[in-house]
Amino acid sequence: MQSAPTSRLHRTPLVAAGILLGAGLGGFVDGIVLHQILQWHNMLSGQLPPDTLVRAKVNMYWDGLFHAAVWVLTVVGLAMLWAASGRPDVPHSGRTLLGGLLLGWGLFNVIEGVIDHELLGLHHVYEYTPNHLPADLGFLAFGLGLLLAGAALVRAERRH
Amino acid sequence: MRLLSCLLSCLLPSLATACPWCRPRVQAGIYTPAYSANLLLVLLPVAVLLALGVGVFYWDKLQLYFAPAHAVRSY
Repeated sequence: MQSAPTSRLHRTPLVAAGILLGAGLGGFVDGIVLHQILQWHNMLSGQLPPDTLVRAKVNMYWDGLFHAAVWVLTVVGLAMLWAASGRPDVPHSGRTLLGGLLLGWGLFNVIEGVIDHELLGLHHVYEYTPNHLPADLGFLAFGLGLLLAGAALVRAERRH
Repeated sequence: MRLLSCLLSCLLPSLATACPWCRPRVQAGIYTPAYSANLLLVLLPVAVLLALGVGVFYWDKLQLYFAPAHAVRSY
């Protein structure tokens, strides 16, 4: 397969695949680490504290729907990666894909953090404290860090 | 086949009776009048991310679609 001239290379399909894969995998990190292993929060724990077996199982249901949704994100990202890898005008760049993955994880933290934690109050990162703000801000700051690192990698590869 | 039916007959009743006393209460807690609203809220961030990813993937085509006619002809 001949490579396309540099001026006609399109990186956005690869970045998009990385964003969806990164967001999906970032969602799994949230669900597996924060919901299940550390048990800091559940999907609706801000509105329905899991302080009885029934309430914990109701939260488990909404956690399951969240996991199903991020699974769909991951599958769509994988399909996009497959489609992008077959295009001659899309560069085969590991750094661009890694940048997209970090962008996706960062976007997941920022979008989920702003919508679910700050705007809707569905849950907070660490529920078992009267002051939710430090952990919520830490989650957002980690997301912003990932966003900046991902953007830097994608831009560096574009200049390369 | 016989082994499979034996396994199923052993496992299925245990699954169905895993939490016999609380299952109706759990179902009542899930399928409330707020079910659709909860579903929408839980899926909202994922929907935003999906729209963003699909938008970036088709960015080149979207640019062509929204570009003025004279700009498209120059491609």
